[in-house]
Amino acid sequence: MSERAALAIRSPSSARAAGPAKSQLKSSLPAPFLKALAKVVGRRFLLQADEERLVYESDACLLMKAIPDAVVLPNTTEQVADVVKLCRQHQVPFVARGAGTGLSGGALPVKGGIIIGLNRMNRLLEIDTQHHTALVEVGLVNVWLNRALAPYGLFYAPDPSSQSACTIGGNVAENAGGIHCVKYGVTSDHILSLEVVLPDGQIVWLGSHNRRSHGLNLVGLMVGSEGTLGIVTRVRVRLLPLPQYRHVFLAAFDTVAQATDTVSAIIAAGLVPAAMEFMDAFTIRAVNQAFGVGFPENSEAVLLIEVDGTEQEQVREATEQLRPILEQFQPSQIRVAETEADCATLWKARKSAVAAYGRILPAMYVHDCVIPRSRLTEVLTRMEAIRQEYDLIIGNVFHAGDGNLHPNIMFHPNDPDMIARVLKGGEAILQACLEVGGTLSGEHGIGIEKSEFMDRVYSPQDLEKMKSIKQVLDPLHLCNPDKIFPTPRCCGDSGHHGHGQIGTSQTQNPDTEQRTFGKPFEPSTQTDGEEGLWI
Amino acid sequence: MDLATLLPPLSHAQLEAAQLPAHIQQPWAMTAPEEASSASPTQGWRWQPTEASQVASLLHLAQTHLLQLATHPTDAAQLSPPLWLDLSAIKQVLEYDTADLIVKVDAGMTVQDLQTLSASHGHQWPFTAAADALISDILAEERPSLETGLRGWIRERVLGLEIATPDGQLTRCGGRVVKNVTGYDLNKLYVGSHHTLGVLTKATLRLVARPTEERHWLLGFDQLALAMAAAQDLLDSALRTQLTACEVFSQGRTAGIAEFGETLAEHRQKPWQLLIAAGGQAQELQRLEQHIASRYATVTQSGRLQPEWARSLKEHLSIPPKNNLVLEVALPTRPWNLFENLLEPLQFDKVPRRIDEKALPGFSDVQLRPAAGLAWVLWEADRCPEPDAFASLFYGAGSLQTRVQTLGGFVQLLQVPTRLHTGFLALVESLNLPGDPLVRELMLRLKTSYDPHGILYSSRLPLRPDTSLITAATSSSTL
Repeated sequence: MSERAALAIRSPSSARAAGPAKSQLKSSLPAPFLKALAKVVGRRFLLQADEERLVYESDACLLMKAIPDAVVLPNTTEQVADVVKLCRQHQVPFVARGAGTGLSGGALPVKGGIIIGLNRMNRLLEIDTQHHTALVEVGLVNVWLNRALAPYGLFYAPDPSSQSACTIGGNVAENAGGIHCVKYGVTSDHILSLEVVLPDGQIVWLGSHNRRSHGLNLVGLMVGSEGTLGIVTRVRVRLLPLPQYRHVFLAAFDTVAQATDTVSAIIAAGLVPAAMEFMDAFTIRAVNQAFGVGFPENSEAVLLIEVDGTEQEQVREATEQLRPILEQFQPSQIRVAETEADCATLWKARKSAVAAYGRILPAMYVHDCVIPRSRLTEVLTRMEAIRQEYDLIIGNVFHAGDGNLHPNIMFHPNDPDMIARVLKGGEAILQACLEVGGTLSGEHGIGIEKSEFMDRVYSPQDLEKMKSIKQVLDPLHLCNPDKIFPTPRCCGDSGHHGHGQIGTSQTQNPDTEQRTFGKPFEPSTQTDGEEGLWI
Repeated sequence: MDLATLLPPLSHAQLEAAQLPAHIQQPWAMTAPEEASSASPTQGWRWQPTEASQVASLLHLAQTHLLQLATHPTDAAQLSPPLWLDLSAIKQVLEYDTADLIVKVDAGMTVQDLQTLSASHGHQWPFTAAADALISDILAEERPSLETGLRGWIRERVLGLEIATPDGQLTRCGGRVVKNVTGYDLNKLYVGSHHTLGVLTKATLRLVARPTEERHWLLGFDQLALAMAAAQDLLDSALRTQLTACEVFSQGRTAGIAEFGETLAEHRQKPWQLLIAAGGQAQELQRLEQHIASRYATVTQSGRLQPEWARSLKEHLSIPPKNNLVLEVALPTRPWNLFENLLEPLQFDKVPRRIDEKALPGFSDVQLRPAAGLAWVLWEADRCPEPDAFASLFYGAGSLQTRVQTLGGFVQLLQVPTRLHTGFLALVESLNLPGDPLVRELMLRLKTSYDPHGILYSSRLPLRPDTSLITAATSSSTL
């Protein structure tokens, strides 16, 4: 995250840097606009009170905040469209939001305006067991869908760690991945069609029941566009037969290199496990101390590798193929969980990592970057040097099979010096990833968190081409504005300056130098990783 | 050599004014219309750049002089002057990462060269294509192969792209990692765009490890329903993970290829055939073979294909015959038997004769790919005498489109024989773009943004810029 993005984001009418002073929270939206919004969604579902709007001031990354001028909670696509038309009519920026589990500030109203909360649109409209598809509204929670599908022997594959809370719409916006995407692919691989409210309020269906594109692939463009090209309201997803059997390997290693070399060897051998997760020594010990999980305490790294299938024989064969590769790298221990209960225990332990971190320091910056899988050893070594240089506390638990790193940098929210080091160290880690051919994000998105780093990945021409898409679909720049792309730094830069602007420099806004966070993180309440932050 | 004769209709002065780099003035291999034989598919003016920057310069030149160009010679035949951009001389391997199974290549490389290269590292590009097909075209068309569906879709294997656009720029998207949400996923937009937004010049692709062993079986059936049931059985089984192809096709589809040996004669005589391809460990393939033998003992004596026959058959099935009109039907991938009920409107001899006095014979062949939900319906050009074919096809395809759309699918024309090309363009436009006017408008707006003067022509994706948008687009503020 850039220093700039980490500053408390200020919306023109609702700055929040040194606490929620009521005068600062005052909304400046025109009364006729608010009246019209209330008419569309009903007064009950237009939130204007300070305490109601504060709920929406951040996503799961507490380093970035921006309070909306109002929040609307529509219940139908038509209501969303009417709200968008009103925003267009009154030139008010709008940002769609799901469960708020994002980690890149993608759903923050950095230019003010309204948040369109889609949580009421959470209906599972259809499970088509014949065609293996489901039609859902975007507010449906990921895991609810899978619970509903299980009796039919089907599942929806993308499983971000936040799946107990995150919504399908949020998954579409960020092109979410998850633990099992190494085998099953990311969200875009499982979306057949989308209903979208365009930035001008028109409603359109994109895609078909077949993955073949009919004309340009607008579904592929829309997925992962972070809600900047329109608001997705309904989604037809592709379903897969639920694997009936699985084994989970736990392989512990004395060195990080042994573990990462194992990952490379598995990839090179052409094996495609259902999941391949890495935990470093810090995480192993944190999880053991917090929950008594019993991961090999003296190991420097643990790999959790799942193989699955619809027949037992299939899983047994995959297990036989995997074991000799693992043994080649001389793990200090290999355990194989063969029962469903044992497998679930191992995965719960993995998911409890974040909660375990919460016992060490109350807040955490969850990074997300991707590197070529063969460079894991090199980058983790570099990361250790960065950790020492900036005196950081970093826990690594990540999707090794995809090369998708999640360095979790812990900090105390009331320690500005520590936060500064976290930001600088985080940036150094990002740079290390880029230098080996990596990229800024694998599943969390760019949002405002990394928008200032986009020019390290793409040339100005590359970025202009992306921006031209935004220009085509949202010429007024009202639809989740100022996300993804770097914002102009000086008056000479081109840029659209409308209803407000992203947080400016510290010299211009001295109050933003003091990062004061609301309620401190309370680790004692974090007993289960599924209830905390997710990675 | 006089440059003006190489690059008609541009004059020296125009070329100089375009400030093209010096290398562009090299005498490229080129065939002038009058020099080409009438049978040659390469009639027209061919620009054959040798590096990506030249492609960008040429596109800019074309835009400056409002010259339309195509990336395929048959498309160029529709243009005046017939101008096509031949990328086949841009074919360097730029990077090969054996550990990550990633290769970055110039898009003019052939699929065969890519397969040869990757095989030397124990890898493969998992989609069969014509040996001389260019990577650029495979990606631009997202051309379905036998493996589509079972081994994913081509777009999932594209990690990064470079594209030359009519404004003379080369821009990149994506990268070289397997998971990437850094900015808009323009890979998805460009793959399948038929070079109508820009010309793909470089690609970073994700390969797979070559299976330890590959096996192929060919089974014959008396009825389409039986062949489809066999395919469904395999696709629903746990053995699906080993399958790399599961293709049902009518007998005539392989009529032109050599005999596969005595043991397969029985199968090839059947009106419907099923090609099964699989890769994996020997024990896994053995189980698959046992499964096939146990279910289809009555139709299989020894259906296993020799590797060289299998390779030949797969390549043959990947390419529709050039003299065929090909309609592609895209449907939900399940249930597999949906196709059977849809073919009737295409039996033109059964079409009510309200349009034509003469009816046409039915389609020549059908090829079905249930794992991808795709079917090809083929007519030999000789069976489509104009204008009867034209009107009947409109009727049949329109009727089919209506039925398919109710099931959530669509129909498009995949190939039109050159002889029929002009007459069918209107049909292409009505079928190959989505019916929803708003979706079309979105596509046209994107086309206009990338190619405001419409210099990039594709008959398969006939997007024409909306000139009414050009002024607005160029005058509005940038981000």
